[in-house]
Amino acid sequence: MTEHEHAASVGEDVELEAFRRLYPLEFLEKFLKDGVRPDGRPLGRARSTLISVGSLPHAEGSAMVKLGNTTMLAGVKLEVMTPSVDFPDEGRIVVDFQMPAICSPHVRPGRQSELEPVVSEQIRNALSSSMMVDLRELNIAPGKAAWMAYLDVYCLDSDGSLLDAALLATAAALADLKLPEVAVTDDGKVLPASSDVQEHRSLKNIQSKRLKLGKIPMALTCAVHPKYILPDPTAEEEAILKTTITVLTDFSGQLFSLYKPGGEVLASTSTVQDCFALAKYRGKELQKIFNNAVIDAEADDAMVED
Amino acid sequence: MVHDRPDGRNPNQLRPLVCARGLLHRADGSARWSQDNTIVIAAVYGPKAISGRRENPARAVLEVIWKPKMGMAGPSEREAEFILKRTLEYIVLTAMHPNTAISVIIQVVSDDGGALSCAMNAACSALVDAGIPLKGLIAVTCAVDKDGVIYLDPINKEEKEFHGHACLVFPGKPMSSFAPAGLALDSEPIERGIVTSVTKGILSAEDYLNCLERSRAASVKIAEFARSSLEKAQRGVELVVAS
Repeated sequence: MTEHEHAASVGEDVELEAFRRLYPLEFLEKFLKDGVRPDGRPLGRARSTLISVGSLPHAEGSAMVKLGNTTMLAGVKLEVMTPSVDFPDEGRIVVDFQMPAICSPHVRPGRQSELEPVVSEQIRNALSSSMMVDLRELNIAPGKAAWMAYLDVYCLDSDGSLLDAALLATAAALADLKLPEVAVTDDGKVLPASSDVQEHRSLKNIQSKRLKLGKIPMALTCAVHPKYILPDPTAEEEAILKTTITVLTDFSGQLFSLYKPGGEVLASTSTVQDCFALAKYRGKELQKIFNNAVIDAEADDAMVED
Repeated sequence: MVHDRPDGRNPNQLRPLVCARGLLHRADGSARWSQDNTIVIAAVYGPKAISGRRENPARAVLEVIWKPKMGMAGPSEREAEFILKRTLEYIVLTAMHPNTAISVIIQVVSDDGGALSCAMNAACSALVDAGIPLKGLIAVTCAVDKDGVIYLDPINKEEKEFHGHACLVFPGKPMSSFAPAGLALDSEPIERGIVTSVTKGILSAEDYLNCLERSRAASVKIAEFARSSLEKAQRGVELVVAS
């Protein structure tokens, strides 16, 4: 390239960046008119999704999810607790979603992002509505001891569709969760299984097990433009369009909830139905990816036991 | 199978609505909206000065603070603030007051179900009382579903028992026969789209769409009430009771 051509192309790049910053909506619409998104995806496609379980060796369950650039890390740590009187055979799952400053230049250390409590609440809602985990599976000795699972989800990179990725990470971490083998005395004291079992009288051994999962909840966030619906928006698309609809379903597309927190664009019934259809399609995609990731983890289990 | 409601209403019946404006003297605008035993007070301060990084040179910044009846504000209150803020951003003409902040403070006085919808209605009335330029009003209703039957405006007991409930916000514009064709949203009159939808529990797609239809019909009544309440207030009568 001659110097003149090189200078010309640099000039074009600067103009492109300037246009992108000054007229973000027009920039986006230029792509949408041709049926693509700025990152090259067709209009209705979600970004590439990667799930890997067992990323944290010290946590009893963990998973890392990458949805395009959005990266979530979920870990489950267990602690023994005394179950409540009303539900003596149930454990608890405590969910916390955090956005540390590493994830985005908009998050400052020490100040909670406004999305944190919203996503936390939605994950909690999704888990309790779908009843993915029967809390009785966390029981050790009814009325005396049960597992409390602290599920922490960290956003490592925030590039849109945070709830989608966080919920997927939550589900994968819970699927990966392995309750350790413990020994429990009659009065409910829980000891690690490796202690001298023979010496203590009336010590019951509880085998290690994975949780039996019910319906697995998933979320699909769609950014809404008066003429187009963009599933799985990037942070740039979310910032330009501002209006999003999040559909919570299970993998088979059966609806749990529809979340549209205001925004400038109204959603008509047909928009809502389109979002349902997109979620159903996405559910099938995610089911395959999820099952593959979890099967790998279980295969590792089998290898270790042999 | 239609269940009997604890307070004797039929499934399509809303609770009696009361709206009072101008109750707080320090606030620029205030309103108390009650749906029988659910009472919420909203106060609006603004447009007021805002400093530092938070100011936006193009539009006013909306801020919502939700104060629960008892205890400290936790994550569910933060979520309600977020939803309310995004919803109010739909109606407030923020571009008319750049470099300012508009604060909406919600105080739940008593909660017998439907506090979020009550708060949104109250906030809308308070914004009108404060004289903040609005694109329109909103009408918020709530519905629960059990065995496929939709019950409007549930009380606390119903919310807890039922499978799923939805809080839906509709624009409160009257139907205009002169609306240009280009404004129609996929052949539906523009007034019928939803601004906000928040659901809890499990709702199947069909039940959700039924909820949508019923709530839309109910929202027309609420919008009428809010509008007539405004008009009467302008004629000097501040307290309006309607059912």
